[in-house]
Amino acid sequence: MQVEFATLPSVSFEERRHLPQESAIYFVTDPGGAVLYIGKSVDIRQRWATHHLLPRLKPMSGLRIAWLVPDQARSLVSIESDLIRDLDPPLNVVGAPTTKRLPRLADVAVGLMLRLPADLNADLKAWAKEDGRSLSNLIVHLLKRAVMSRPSPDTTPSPPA
Amino acid sequence: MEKKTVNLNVRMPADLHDRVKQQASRDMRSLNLEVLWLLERGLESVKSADEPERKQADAG
Repeated sequence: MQVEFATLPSVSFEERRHLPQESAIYFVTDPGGAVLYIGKSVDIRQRWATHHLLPRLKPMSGLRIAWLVPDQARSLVSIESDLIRDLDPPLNVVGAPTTKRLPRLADVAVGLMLRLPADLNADLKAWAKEDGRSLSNLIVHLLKRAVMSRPSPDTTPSPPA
Repeated sequence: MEKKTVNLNVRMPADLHDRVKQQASRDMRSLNLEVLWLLERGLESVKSADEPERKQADAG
């Protein structure tokens, strides 16, 4: 099942109280847009009032919750299971969580303390504002673009002898 | 005079953190300096990409 995440409505994790009181599939995404968790509920706002992942997600910044109101012809359960199978989000654990080790938060996201020159910080902030994204999200986006444009050391050919 | 700096905590996917760390070690820079270098390059590329559009807009 293909989902165009860019077109889905979403709120920041901090604004989860503004989720609609609707029956939907929801997606938790990290600052880089990767899907960390997929769930379903007949009232997603209510679901996020008491979600079991809250204590693990609260320390993370830049998360978003997007949702998809499915076609009535298909059940939430079947759509959710198809999406989990296709996207394999790291926080969706198959089976009873009490008998399986949950992935640690550190396996998914890592905190990095940066010291930026004030002028660069101001430029980035202005850019983030213009793009309508958080500063953290912009930094992750730029870093991703930069490292992906450079070949990994494993694929770099050795210089001629 | 020392340049004013700002501390910022950024959370990123673990695999991206690993890639930047590897790159920093390859370039013999600290992780912070590598990130700064990459961010400055990112900003420059966007500014230079904007330049022709701006010139076109000025001409139009």
